[in-house]
Amino acid sequence: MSTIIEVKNLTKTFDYYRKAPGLFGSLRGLFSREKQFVDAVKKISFTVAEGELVGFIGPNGAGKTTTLKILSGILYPTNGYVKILGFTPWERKAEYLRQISLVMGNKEQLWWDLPAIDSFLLNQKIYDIPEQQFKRNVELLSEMLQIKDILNVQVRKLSLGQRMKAELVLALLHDPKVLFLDEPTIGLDVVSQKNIREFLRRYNKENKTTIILTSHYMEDIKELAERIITIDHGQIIYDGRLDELIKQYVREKTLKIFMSKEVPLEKIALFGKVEYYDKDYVELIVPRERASKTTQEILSAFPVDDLLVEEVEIEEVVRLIFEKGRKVV
Amino acid sequence: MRHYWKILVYLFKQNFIRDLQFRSDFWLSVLTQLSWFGMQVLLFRLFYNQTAAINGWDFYQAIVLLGVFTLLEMVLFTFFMHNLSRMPYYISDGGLDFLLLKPVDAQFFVSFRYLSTNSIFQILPALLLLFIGLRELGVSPSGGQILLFALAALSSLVILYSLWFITVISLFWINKVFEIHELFLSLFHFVKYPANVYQGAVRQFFSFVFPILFTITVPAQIVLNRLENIRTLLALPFIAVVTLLAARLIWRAGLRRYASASS
Repeated sequence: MSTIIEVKNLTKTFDYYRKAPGLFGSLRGLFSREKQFVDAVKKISFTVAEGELVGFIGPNGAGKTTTLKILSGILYPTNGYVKILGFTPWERKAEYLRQISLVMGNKEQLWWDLPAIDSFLLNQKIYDIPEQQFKRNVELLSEMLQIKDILNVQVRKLSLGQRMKAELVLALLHDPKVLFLDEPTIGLDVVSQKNIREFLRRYNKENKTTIILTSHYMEDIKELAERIITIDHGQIIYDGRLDELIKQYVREKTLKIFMSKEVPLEKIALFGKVEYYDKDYVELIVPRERASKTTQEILSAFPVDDLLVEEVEIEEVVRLIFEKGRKVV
Repeated sequence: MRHYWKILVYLFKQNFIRDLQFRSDFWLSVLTQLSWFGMQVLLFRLFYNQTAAINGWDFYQAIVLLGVFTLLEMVLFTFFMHNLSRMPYYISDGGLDFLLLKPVDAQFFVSFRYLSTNSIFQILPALLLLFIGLRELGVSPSGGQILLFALAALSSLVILYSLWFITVISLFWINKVFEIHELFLSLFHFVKYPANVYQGAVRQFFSFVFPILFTITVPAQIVLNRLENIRTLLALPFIAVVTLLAARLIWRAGLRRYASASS
């Protein structure tokens, strides 16, 4: 697989003016202001191969959106090197822009006053999409996302979920090679989220489109991205496979055991750390690598009704990482 | 070039369809334009009740001048009113994001995305003024004059657009000002009076700093066959090139400063 995105030491600094609070502060601000700088992105580097689907995760203000905006040519970086498909994004060559697309969950590019199909047609003119390709894509994409029957309805009358699906169709009409998705499922109900996830997975597989995805819904990341890049305070703190991350961070598993008879606490404590004990129900924490062996031992040693092995939730993992805020790579 | 023409034609069609949906908006804008137009004529009439000529311009010449002003205003409003007034949203609120993503020139797209097709009807009062003025004066411009008028008017439109554009993209450097486009519009109204009424510092300002002084007067002088100074005619295309170039450079510098808006 060839490298399609290359980012080296990318830095973006924003300047803004600090305003003292209150009316007096505002008045004083008319005459003298204090300029402040904030690093939204600090020297980040990574590469993405063709057809990869990478998940960007991090808390609000971590620098995910800023990175996507630089990669899609909207923002100039303060420093650093980026090559995507052989182009420098912020030069905004038509040849580059024709091959990428960006979808932002909290911003619309469909025109509210007109049906979605009219926005599609405008994009056809702008991207110079041949009639055949255009027809095929509208047909195919709206079929996949199940919005065929609403393409002629004024956008303002659509639900949020329908609008998001139409935004996706709009963004994909020109068959982009690289797709940036910034929180594409934000604010959607569970069913719509699932639809969009399934669509993205299928689209990525069938078209070999390289995708970078940010989301606050871990479900999105877990379902879609094999590789994740974790950003916090503008810096990458983890870049690798999702299951590796879990392995590194989660060293224990929880066994939930339902006994058919009461088992003494001191006996069960021999197998691990008892988190909870209530006669016939026990929660036991065991080291990850010994989990299956311990399970077998418990099954043979005690009268067990039922036994569950629980992984820590990915949300929990991410929370752990950001709390520690240290580098894992 | 053909690509851009195709986009422009389609934008026109789309905006026309859009504007047709809002009938009350359409009638309101007709009504506003008519009353505005009536007030202008009335104002000119009042001036000329006091005097036969103002700086060598008699009433019907002033009517022709007003006709040229209305005509150029019509073109400017049709193309740019709904676009340049959006600049606070584009620049201060991050609305530029999607526009910058398109494989067409961003300045082109920002300037022509939303056309105001309702404004086209303003061509009727404009032509009416020109017709009445020229008929009363007994002037009928030759084909050559009309061609020259068209070229001068085109230069003027480029100048007016560029200055309007420069005014609104100053938002890249200053804090959000919602009504920034009004600044241009209020200055624009100075040129519906003959250029020679302005003297001293005001004249200097409108000649060099904000060079709109000749944009209406010179095209009017061409059809009236009273062009006094050929240099003012030659100045128009020159100023047009300079202002357009300046607009382009300032726009590019602005994009480098564009900070979008956080999500």
